[in-house]
Amino acid sequence: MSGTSRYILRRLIQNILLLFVITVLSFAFMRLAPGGPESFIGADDPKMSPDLRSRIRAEYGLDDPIPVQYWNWLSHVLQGDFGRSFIDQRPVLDKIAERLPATITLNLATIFVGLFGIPIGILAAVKRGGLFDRFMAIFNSLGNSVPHWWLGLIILIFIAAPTGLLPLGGMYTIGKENDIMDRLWHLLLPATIAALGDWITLSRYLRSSILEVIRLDYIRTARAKGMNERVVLWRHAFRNALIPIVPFFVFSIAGLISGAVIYENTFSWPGIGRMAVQAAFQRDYPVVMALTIIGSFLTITGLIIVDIIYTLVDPRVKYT
Amino acid sequence: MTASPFAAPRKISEGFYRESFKRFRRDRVSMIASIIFLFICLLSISAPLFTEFVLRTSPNKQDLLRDYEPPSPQHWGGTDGLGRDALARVIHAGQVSLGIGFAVAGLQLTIGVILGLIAGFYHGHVDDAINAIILTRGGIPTLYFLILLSVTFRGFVGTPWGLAIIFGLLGWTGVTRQVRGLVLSVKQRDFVDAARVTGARDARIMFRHILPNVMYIILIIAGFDIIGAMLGEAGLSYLGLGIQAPTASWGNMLSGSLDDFQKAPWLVFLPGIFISITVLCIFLITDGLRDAFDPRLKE
Repeated sequence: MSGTSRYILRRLIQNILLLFVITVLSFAFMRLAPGGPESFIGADDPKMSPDLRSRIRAEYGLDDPIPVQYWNWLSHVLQGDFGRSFIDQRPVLDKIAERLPATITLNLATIFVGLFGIPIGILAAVKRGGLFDRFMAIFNSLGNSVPHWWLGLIILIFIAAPTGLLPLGGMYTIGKENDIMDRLWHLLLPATIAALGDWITLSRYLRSSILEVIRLDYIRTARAKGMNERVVLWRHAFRNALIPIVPFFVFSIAGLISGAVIYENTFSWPGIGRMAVQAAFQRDYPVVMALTIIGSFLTITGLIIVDIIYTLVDPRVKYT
Repeated sequence: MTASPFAAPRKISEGFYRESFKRFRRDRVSMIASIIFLFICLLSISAPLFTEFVLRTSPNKQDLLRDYEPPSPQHWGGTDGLGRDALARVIHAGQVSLGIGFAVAGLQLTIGVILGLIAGFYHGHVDDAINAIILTRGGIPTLYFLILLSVTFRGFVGTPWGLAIIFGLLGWTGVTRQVRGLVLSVKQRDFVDAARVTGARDARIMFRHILPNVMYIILIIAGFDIIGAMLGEAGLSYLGLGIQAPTASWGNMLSGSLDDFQKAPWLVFLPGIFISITVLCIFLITDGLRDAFDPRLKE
């Protein structure tokens, strides 16, 4: 077996262990909660008759030893059964699946808008110290300081609400569910605001990575042999400068599902993030736990993919 | 005492930290940011005095007949839905938000630096163990972790101290990673061997010899930690999962302001402006420190 595939295999085993630890942790948190698991299902009500309480306890398997309870829970989770919501008794996975399209739509749009960070970074690097570069430096420090969701609120309140130019929230106008333009119009502000962070990160990464690459010998060689500056930049510098931003995209895709909690809440977007916050208010434990575990699974998968892509994209990276 | 003939000539260098600080003081942007930041800190610390003697009100005094008043000479920042003075509340909330920022940074640095020193210094199994913790923590998306914790320990997470401790316990891994990397390179240097030869113990080498050599980077990490904690508090409280009423923080004032934004838009503005200016100042100070400590970075 080659070094790389052995490395990947080792990482896989490591990460399966990691996922196991995370399931133990999230299960433990439910036990640690003040009032115990009974408090989530209302079985800690002192007015409840002992008979009813013991029936509820038996139904949820609360009388079994903890390791047995954990094992029962885990074997269900492994089959994709995260239990039923405490609030409306519907299967958690159904609830999540229902919200998934909205979240994925918003996050794909965010990644798309975020891609505009790439030309910004290139332009800032090529014209380093120029007017655009300095403007972007100021924009970036401001953009790092202002909470983006607050900026979204300000735009909603002071621009969208008085002028009616932009929708105040939601995915579509009621009665126009199938109008694609109407949907895009609703996406515009949430995706732009959610992408601000990506713009800043991408453009800064790319700028510094281009500046670093451009100093290297092979660029000087390319220039010395009389190559067109544009070819040097695009064929030689840009490709290598892209390597550091590979993880960014992998994590964006891992974050497709868990990404935009705060923006979904700001723009009343009916996705998973809003469901998570609602579930937190209602102490709907099965939902919160399912989201934590699914989110962890995606993050860890993302980490493995980053590793693999690195070995594929950059032949200089060798694992032993 | 007469000067020893072997004493190094003093004029050549005043020492790394002193010279760096001089460079920092010469940077105009950093100085302005420092002054504004200091002003905000002083304002928050003296919040009770300021509201009592300058604004002539108190943050929790309700006046239901004068709700949603726009900014006026009596109420510089207007009033909220219960007729409470918004500016007085924002300044008091500054104590909570800034306090959380500093407390979180302190906690993260303490845990992160100690574990980073140990991991880098001993390498081997200790390093692997610490790494495993970091990987586990990194495998859980932070926001969902916070939501899980706020469901489980609602009463605890809702208080400023509780939130600071949770943020501190979740966020030290980045510090550890950076410190560990630095220690790995610093411990190869000759002065570490020299210290060992003179019989210094591990702890002494770590804290007296290696730590001062990575201190300036820790200072910069501290800046970003404060920023992260303040923005994190604001976001979580805005979602309603952070600091709980009646304690005011910049984040939960924003979430409270949303119900009545049409009647009182200034309530949405005020806390956000305070967060943004404070974070911007810390950001600029941190940036200035980085340039001052490592002038090569400026190119």
